[in-house]
Amino acid sequence: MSRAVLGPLTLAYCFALAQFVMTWILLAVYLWRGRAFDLAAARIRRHETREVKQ
Amino acid sequence: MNAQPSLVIFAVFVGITLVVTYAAAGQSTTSRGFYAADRRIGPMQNGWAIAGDYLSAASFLGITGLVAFYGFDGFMYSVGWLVAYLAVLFFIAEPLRNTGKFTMADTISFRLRGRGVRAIAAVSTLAVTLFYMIAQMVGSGLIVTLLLPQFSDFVAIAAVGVLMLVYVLFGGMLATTWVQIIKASLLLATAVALSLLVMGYFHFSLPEFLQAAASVRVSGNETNLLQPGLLYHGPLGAWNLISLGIALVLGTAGLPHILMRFFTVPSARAARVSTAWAMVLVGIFYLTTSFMGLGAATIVGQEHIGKRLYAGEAITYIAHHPERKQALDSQLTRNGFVVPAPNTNLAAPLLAGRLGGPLLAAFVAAVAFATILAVVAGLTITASSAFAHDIWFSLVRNGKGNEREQFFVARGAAVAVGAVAIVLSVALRGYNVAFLVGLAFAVAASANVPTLLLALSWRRFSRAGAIAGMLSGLVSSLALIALSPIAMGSHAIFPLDNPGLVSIPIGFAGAILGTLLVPDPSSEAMFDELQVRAATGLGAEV
Repeated sequence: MSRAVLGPLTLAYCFALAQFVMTWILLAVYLWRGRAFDLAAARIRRHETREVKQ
Repeated sequence: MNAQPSLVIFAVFVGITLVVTYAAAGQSTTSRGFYAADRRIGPMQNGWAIAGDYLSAASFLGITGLVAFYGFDGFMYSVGWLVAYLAVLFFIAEPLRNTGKFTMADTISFRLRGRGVRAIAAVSTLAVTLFYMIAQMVGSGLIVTLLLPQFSDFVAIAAVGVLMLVYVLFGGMLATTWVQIIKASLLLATAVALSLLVMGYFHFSLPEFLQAAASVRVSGNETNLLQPGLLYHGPLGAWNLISLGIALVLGTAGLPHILMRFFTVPSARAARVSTAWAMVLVGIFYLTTSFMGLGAATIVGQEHIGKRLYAGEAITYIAHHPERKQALDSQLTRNGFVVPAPNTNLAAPLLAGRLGGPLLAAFVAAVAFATILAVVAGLTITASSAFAHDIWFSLVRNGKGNEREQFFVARGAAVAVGAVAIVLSVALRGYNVAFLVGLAFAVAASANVPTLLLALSWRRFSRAGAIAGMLSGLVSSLALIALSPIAMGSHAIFPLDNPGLVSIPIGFAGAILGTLLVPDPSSEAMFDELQVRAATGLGAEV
């Protein structure tokens, strides 16, 4: 981990910075998947509230 | 340092936030308004406010200093505290918004209905919040005595205490939210500006900057700042790092003042989007800690950062830190003084002074103070909600009582919590700030997180399990910290600085064992209702 791989930047530091990238990528994936989930939840809510009203 | 510019800049911040508080004052007359800003905070605003609540002085002054002195190992705090938000995003934010009303205890006792569960959840909330609050207030005293020696730490603690009460009492959650947003913008702008100044010093050449950072040698050490091992070394180094990492990553998801922010938005979607905003803002800030920290190490120089201890004081300090005796001894014989780690807190203001002159240093000091003020305001309203909503309204009054009474008790609780925090901070001002923050994170990760996660995801989880989980996590984390090297020095019974590695599994084990020993069919039966509500928002508080 102490080996310099990118100029003086060590493997460990690259690994740490990669975790920033990983966090943001996972965030983007989750937000993207969440849109479909929101639509499904809204559909269920509409369905349920209509049944209650009847 | 000349106090005047700092005071003027800080007074401007206080003035603006007081105007905001005045504007917010008439708007919240209900408990929903006081605790949750009527759930009318937008996702982007809430994202900035989460960042404001989260980025404490420990993040700004603390990590910058740790990176300046320990390079990569210090930067691991930044990594841990950002990655932590994945747990919040994936498991907590949305279900919490849909199943709770004002507090973490609401979500836990959504199906685990019982006085015991709510009482212990409230006590654990109060414990985490108070430790965190005391850490911030002691930190404010420390900063003031280091930066503006003409004021005592008592003055700083009292000023922070009074101002936080003004925001919370008169403006409730709405004013507190705007204080967070203003502070987060100031802090982020300052951090980015300092980073650009550092890069400007190195002619905006990343290789030049990294080369300079790699050539900084800590005395008597082969490791450079870009390599791991400066802070966590020796036979237990890796274990210390793992234990800290677990506590940081899981602790965030159990910090009551962060969780409470999700009750201020109108929907689960808004909770998710606000977490996303927070993750971008917090991520950018944590990236700048590398530039600020490595910049301070290369431009200011480690030997010039911090308050120096001479002769007798130095010898006492070395006696309390036997694990670093060799390094400190050689420092003492070579320089005639030692620079103890806690004063790494000065890295950011000294860097600002070196790059932008006394005015920028004053600005950074004022921003640091504003940072603390905003965080304690968020903590005060959280502690007040745990006391007034969970303990008074739900337990003492059994859910009865009108709006007037709630209004009165909530504000009374804020004053009481504020007063307790001020008194304890003055009493504990000699304690290490990192120790107190460590307590808060360890208790949050060990007591709150296992129970919160299991309450949301494990069908069989029972009331006994929740009580056992929170109690075992709370007691084991407090006990292990009391037995750790941070509290006991070289005679420590427990070898790791942070108890997370042991106390978090104990929290989970307690929760699981309690559930298996005393099952609870009525709570089990409500699991489907919880899941439907968590996922769809049907029946969620509006």
